[in-house]
Amino acid sequence: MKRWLKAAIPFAVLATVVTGTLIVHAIETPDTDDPQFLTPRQRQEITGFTLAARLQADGITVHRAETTAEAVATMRRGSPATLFVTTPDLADLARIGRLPNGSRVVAVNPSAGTLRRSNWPVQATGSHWTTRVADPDCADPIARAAGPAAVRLTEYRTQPGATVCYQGALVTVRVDGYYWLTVVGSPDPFRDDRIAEHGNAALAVGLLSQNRRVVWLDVHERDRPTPQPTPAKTGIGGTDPTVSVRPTYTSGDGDGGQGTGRGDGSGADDGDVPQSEQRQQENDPLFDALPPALWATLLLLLLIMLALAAAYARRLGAPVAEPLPSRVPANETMLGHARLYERGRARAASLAILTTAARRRITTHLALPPGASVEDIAAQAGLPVRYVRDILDGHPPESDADLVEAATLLQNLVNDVTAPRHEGEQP
Amino acid sequence: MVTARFALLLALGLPFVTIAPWPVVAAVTGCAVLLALLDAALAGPLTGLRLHRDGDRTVWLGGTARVRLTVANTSDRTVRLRLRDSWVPSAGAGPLFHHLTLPAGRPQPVTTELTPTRHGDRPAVRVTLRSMGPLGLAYRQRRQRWNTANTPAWNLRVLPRFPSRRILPEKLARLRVVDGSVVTRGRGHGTEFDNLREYVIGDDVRSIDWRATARANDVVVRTWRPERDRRVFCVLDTGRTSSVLIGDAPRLDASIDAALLLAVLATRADDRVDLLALDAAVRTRVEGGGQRTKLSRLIDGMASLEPVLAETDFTVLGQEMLRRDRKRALLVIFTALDTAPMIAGLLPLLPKLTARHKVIVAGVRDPLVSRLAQLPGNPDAGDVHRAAAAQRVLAERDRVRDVLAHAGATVVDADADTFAGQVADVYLLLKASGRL
Repeated sequence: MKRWLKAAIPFAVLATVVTGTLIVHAIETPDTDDPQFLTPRQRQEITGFTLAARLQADGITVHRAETTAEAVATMRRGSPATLFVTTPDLADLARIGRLPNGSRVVAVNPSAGTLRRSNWPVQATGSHWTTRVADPDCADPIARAAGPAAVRLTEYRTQPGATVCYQGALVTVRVDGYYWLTVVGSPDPFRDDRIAEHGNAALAVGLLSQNRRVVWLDVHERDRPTPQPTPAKTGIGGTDPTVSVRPTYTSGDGDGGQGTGRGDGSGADDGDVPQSEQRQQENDPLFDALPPALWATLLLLLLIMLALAAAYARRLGAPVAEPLPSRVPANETMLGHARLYERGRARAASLAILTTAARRRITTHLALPPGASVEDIAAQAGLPVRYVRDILDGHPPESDADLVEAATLLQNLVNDVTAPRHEGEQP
Repeated sequence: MVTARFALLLALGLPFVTIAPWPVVAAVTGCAVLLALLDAALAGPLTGLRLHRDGDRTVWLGGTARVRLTVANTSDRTVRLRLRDSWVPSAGAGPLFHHLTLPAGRPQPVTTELTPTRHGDRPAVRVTLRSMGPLGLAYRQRRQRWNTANTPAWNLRVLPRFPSRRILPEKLARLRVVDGSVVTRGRGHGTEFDNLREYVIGDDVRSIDWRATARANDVVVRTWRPERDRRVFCVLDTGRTSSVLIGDAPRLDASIDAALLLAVLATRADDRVDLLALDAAVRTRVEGGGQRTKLSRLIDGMASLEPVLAETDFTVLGQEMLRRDRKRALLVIFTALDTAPMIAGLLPLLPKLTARHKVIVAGVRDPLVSRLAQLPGNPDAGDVHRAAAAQRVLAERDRVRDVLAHAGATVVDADADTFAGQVADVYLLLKASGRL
């Protein structure tokens, strides 16, 4: 097996395991935009039918609302109620600002981004791979009554004075003195397939039964107008308490002081709206974060590069082309033949060619007829017959060494015969 | 258009950007653009320039030619000129670029030196002009088409390499002996009576004309000379076999060298030399005309020859040489002694040719084949196989030579360094023995 393959196999296995785990986790995690997710209308794995049934058994009225506006309207009617926000990431949290005194809001597992955009004084601090069971570890009577429950998926942090249970997975805080907000870190206690585990049922029922009415916000599509006009509309509203709070999330990205000032201005003065919009457009964080000198330098550098490109792009005369002459390498066929003989180990054929050529040269030199016998050649050249015969009529060579030896002897014979003869050598 | 100096001007603004970013960028860019526009406006006009060329028109391959380009400024403004004189790459032109400052009405020359790498016609292609502004920030340059149209045409004819020039004196000396003009070596070998002259010591006494001596007061000898006004017809094969590299030059170059030597010799011997170059068709033909300009015309004709990747059609040669009005000539065919083109192309034609003409077939041998045919000092099996392959080629060529000789042609088969000399020797031998 190849070396790289050996090295790659452990990594491939690891990658497969990791990818498989991620896929399984993604499948197992319920989607908030799934219509069945914590809905009170049917009983499935991830629905909230059991919870609704238990609440009704306790004599609590459950109103189901399909939009945030509808839920808020229902809250405003009648006695104080509990708003159960099953999907805060999809709901229009900005509308929840105006609730009657004594209301409660229970939000299930809002993400960090959702919290940042809302006016709730709660921040997400971290999350776990799966939901964990935790002890209440706080003074809240509902949590204490429920005992250990599977709520530790996301953990939150809030302002001092609020109740924090289950190591941050359950946070209860008073928002602006109007309503109580409870943020639960995991949807597990409310789900039909998990409500029976640990103290889940007690916790869920306890949280939702503090008022005699529950408005169940069952929204599974993004229930929010585009964020752009929302602050303007709220700003025009004027008297509403959220107005002063509203701009704090706009400036929540960094510069607190500037943002608060701007927020106050927009809240006080209705005529300020277009300017506020303009500022928001200019308010590109990257553009603001870096000094204008840098942008100016970059622009100038760009111009310099363009100028250089333009300067070097135009040549003083284009290169001139001309057809190349035809040149053919010599002796390709001959060298190809030689390689073929070598590859095919045609020792006998090679030696036969050399012998024929040598015979021709010798007979020409000795002025003999072309087909002269070995004896004639030997006699004419004054060499032993056996010596000449061994060379000219030798056996086919068995090995390369034999071939080389035979060819060398052949060449020596030709040289001996054709070399100018000295006096007295003739026998 | 702007120069790199324009970019440098922009770069000068970089240290001041921190003072007031956007205004500095705007001011620097604005100033630079204004200056560049001003510079381009002040640059001298290109339309007022007149170009003229003179210098060498021919050069031997390996030599250096000088061609002068004179630029005259007919406008009333000074032109700071950048100029590129473009030739084809094989012309070996240099220097490529010239810088000139041309005051109004003052012509200035630039010289281009050319060391061509191939023979043939090497044309000047284009002179590109660029008029720089006084600040060097911007320039004027016109389109390539305008520059091409404005270029004065020039063609450098590169004559082929003639390395056998060095053996020409020796051959000419032998020709003079044949001619009978060097009397000390014996009387002329010719058969034609030349003239009578006074005896000098060293003359052969057998050549004394006693009757003329009796008439005159002095001893008079008779001189002889070989026949004159014979025809020598050089045929150059420019087909595919002529493009094969022998050493580092194609076979055609060796053929041209030998043909040139033969032409010079034959012209000195007062024979008429004609040239025919052919592959699939006739490429060059130099025939007739005055004897005095013939040699330069022959050289010119050979200069433009290039090998063509086509099979040579020897029937064209047959049509040319077997015309009714052709007189007997010495036909020297410069080709390659390869089996297929010779056996299939030339051989069927050869009996007819030899019936009317004296035919020499001359082919340059590749020295590599002879070298490989001999085993080196410490041979291995590969060397033996190579020697066998080379011997096979040699045997084939010997067979071709025998077949051609049998058909009545004289065959010259020699290495490149002795080839031209051997061809000349055959000619001198024929000349001396009066067999032309």
